[in-house]
Amino acid sequence: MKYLLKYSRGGELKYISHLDTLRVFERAFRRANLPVAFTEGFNPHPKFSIALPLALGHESQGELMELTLKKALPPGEIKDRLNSVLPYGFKVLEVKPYSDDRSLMARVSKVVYRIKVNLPRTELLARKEKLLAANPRIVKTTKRGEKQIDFWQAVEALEVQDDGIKVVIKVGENSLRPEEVAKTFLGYLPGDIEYIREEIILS
Amino acid sequence: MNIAKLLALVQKPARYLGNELNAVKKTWEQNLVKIAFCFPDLYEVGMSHLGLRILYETVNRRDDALLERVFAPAEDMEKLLREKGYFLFSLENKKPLGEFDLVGFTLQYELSYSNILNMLELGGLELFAEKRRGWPLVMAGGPGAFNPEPLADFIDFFVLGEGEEVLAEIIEVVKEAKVKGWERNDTLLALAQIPGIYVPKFYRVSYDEAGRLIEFMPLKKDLPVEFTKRISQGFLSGHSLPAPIVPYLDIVHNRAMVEIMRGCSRGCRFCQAGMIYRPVREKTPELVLAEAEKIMEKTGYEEISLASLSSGDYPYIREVAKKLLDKYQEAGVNVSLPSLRIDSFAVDLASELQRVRKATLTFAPEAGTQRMRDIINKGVTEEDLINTVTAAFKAGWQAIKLYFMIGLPYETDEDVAGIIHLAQKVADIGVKEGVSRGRLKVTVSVSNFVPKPHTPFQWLGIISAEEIKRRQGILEKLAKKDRRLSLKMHDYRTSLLEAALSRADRRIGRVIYRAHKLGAKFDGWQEYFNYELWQKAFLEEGFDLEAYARRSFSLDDRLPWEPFAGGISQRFLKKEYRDAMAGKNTADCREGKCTGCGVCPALEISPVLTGGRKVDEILT
Repeated sequence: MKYLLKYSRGGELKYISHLDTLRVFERAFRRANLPVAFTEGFNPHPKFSIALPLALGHESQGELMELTLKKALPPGEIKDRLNSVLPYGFKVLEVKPYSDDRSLMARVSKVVYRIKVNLPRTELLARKEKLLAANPRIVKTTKRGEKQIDFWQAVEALEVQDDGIKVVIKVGENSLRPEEVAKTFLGYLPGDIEYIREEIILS
Repeated sequence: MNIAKLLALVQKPARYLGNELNAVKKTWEQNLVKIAFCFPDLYEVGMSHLGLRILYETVNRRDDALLERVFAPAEDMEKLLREKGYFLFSLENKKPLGEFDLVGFTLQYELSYSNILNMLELGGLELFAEKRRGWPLVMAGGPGAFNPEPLADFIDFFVLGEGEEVLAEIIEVVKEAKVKGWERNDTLLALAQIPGIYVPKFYRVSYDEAGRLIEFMPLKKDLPVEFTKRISQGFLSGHSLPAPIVPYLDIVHNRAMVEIMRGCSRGCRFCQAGMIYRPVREKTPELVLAEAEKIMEKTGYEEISLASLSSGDYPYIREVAKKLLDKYQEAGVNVSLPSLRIDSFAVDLASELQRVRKATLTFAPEAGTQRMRDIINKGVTEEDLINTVTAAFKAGWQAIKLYFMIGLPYETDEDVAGIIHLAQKVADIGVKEGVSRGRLKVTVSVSNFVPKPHTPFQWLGIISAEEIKRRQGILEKLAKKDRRLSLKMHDYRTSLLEAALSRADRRIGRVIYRAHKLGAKFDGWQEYFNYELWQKAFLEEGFDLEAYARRSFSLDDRLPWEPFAGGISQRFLKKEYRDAMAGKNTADCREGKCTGCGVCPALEISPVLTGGRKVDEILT
């Protein structure tokens, strides 16, 4: 029985890595006594996968996970049992049955990020204007050589807010990391910048 | 102190969060006795240490005290602390060392001593005990406390033995001292009355030019000149670890550790742990299972480790391991044993525990010839090893790892060559049992023997750098011809420093201080270890590092660490030394006959064995 879990990661727990997060959940499932299904074979692993790794240092209000249980449980119970054992900083927001044939990872199409910077709104608006006019390209070095990415191809929307910007970034081959978006937008990376993933949009 | 700002600037910030599952952050109240437990290495190493976890629980369970963790900061964090003028802080309340009442270091290995000085400095404390005023008091315990003298200049008091119960007595004294506003000296004098506690400033110590102990004189009345160690009686009644901390990071030993017994009386003559943790005390299987269950409930770990110095010697090991597997297998939990004996029982056990056979099976014959194994009292024969590895290859293992030492007392070139010959015999069995050529691998890991205090080889120095290199050359030449073997050898320079520090006396404190000033830290890490720096530090204080590490004593000499034997009798160690020379074995007292090591009568206890076994008559 497959479930889709939506959860948040905040506070100081933004400083743990993706692999650390996997361990947090595997152990939480066990403490919550959830009948998690395991992979077959010599080295069985619990069947769950996170839609998209969250970078160390980033918060999130909308992480997604696919979880397979050996037997069905009411979604509300899964949520409550997990929330009673998860360390402070993680919170399951919603659990519902997952019925799509495609894996969660394969369905990720866009992410919505809030990037908080300590700059006046007018300044942010001016930068947006400049960026729209300039249509910059970002050069990325990959294993297969250099690659140029069109900023406005990768960034579907950019909205100036009171404490920073909100962007919708496409996920896929010619994708940009939020840090790259911020750096292109600001010209530099301030020390007190904050990244909050608001949502993962599935196809 | 705004540590939160630093977290964004360092590698692995999870090292400094302090908010892991089951971590205890108490309100910082004036009347609590506040203890900083300092582990002089990185978080990943320190958090793997069972002792820290036990004491964390023991103290934080009380309502009159708190204990917080402090680890050696990694290089990037250290740089930030120094740049911004912040002090080294505890993980839970992010308090600098200076705000604690007690700052305690655990001495797990000699190569962490320079980190202790670095941590005191980063914490904003005076390095020399004599310069400190008021609180905190700096204490130290762990195996290194059995030769406290090289750190005597920096530590206010040492604790010998197991910490659980003596720490409670220390807390009571500190509580009273705080309420009544005692002077530092008076507090230390009160602490010096507690059995197992050594306050170096109350003793005058001198040595002759050969480094023999001439004088060990208490400067206050009623202080001991010989120290017995402490043991924890409560260990057997299940006081420990209801809720161990679960780190976010992947630490060195990332699993639920369930302690099944303490001590080991096999009596290997090179092994310090086997001497200083005596006598053997076994938990009942019921207690082990109950504790494992409690720990699993609170942590959700994917692996349970049945921990002790020699878990294969625990009589109920199979029963306990099987019960745990039955209970937790469904939830994807593994059971592991940290140390395996060389017998086919061990292979059966490993087969049952490991569903995945690709892992390497590790054994420690320690020496390559029977002559040598008799000298060190490693009660294992070549036949044992042959039978064991045969069983292992039959059971499907393809890779075997063997641990050896070179530089053992009375070692000849034949003994050195015997290491490779033995490894080749193991590889031959692999071939015979049909392991494919490409898969068959025998890893031969060879360390350099470092003589330790309170062992039968405590009188001997380490062999010379030249000699280590020459013997390593013999190994290399022989192993090169055999592609089934993979030879791993230890850096001789690390071993020489370890040897120099482990049998050091109080004068070497100045050397450690100088090494610290020259920038020594993380000496146990190859990327930081700087041998030339240490040579320089020794020279500047009038010592030659290698000569110091090599110095030998005669059996009649009074050794610098003799007052700190904790109960082991010198007569027993001398007998063991003579038996080593004669190649005579000494049996384990668990077989029924007391060996007269002296620990039980000194501490007025007996080994605690399960299943109705007992030691016949304790010799005094």
